[in-house]
Amino acid sequence: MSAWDSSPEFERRLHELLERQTNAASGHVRSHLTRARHAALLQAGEHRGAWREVLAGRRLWVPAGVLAAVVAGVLLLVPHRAVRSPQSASATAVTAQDVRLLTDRDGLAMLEDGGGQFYEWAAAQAGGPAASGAAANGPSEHGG
Amino acid sequence: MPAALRGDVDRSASNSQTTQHALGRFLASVELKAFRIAHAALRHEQDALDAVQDAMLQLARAYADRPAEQWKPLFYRILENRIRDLQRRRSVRDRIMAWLPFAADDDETADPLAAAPSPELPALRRLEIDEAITALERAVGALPRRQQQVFLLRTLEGLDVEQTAHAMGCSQGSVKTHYFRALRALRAELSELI
Repeated sequence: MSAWDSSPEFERRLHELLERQTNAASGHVRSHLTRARHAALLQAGEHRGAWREVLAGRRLWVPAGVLAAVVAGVLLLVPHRAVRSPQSASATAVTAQDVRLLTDRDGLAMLEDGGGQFYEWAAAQAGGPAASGAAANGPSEHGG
Repeated sequence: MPAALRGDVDRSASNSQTTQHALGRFLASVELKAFRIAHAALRHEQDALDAVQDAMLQLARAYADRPAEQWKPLFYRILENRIRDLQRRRSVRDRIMAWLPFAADDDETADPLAAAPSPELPALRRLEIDEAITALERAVGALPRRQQQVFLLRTLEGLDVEQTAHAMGCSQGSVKTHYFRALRALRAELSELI
């Protein structure tokens, strides 16, 4: 009966052989593993370093910058909407006026005749001071 | 920055350095064994090196903050997953390459340093050991994969049943069964040699 029949002895012998085989790794393998280890440690260091810098406030400018951008965006959007509301009302008023003009018989006739003069006349009807000169010309030319 | 916070940061930096040193020592202690385990499963030097490197990087990136006593089972769990990924990828690659007429073998070149005899042993004894190692390598390589990994984790790395179960992602009963079967197969294969 050999020593291999005894399980602990067999395991001890296997362990010994495996250890020997492992330690016989080539220089190439050892060098590759050493480089891999250093790369892993470097990465761990960078990962932890980044968090440390955030804690120390060195990288707080990043979240602060994001926060500032969000606040600026909100500030820009809110007044923009507030200013736009009257403009929208004014635009609606002009549209209603346009509808009135279009439903006017004379206006429709002028529209059918075509040409930009109708729009000048319409602007004068709306009471635009710049178009007062055109008001005098527009309807008279159309004979309306 | 308040002094208290600065103190915390300094302490954290010091802890970080300590952890990094401990992690370096740990990786140095397992790298060769991990390579041997990966090589037994993958039978390809470069793939085995890649698997170990990936496992090291992932451990350092994701688990360096864990207590040091958890590193070993975690590391081997990561390595096990990586080996499985590589085996799957290789299986797909082999199936594709089988269709190509110009598929080339990427045989590893033998390392003369590894083949060189160790000078401190007498030639006959060295020959016996070399033969035993070759036979062991062949026998371990012929084991089913789970048996092979359990056997190497327990015998080479020295993990206990619980740690091996954690590393392999299986039950302790399963580890005991795989280990027993692996030993029985190895004894049947190697007893004639001795």
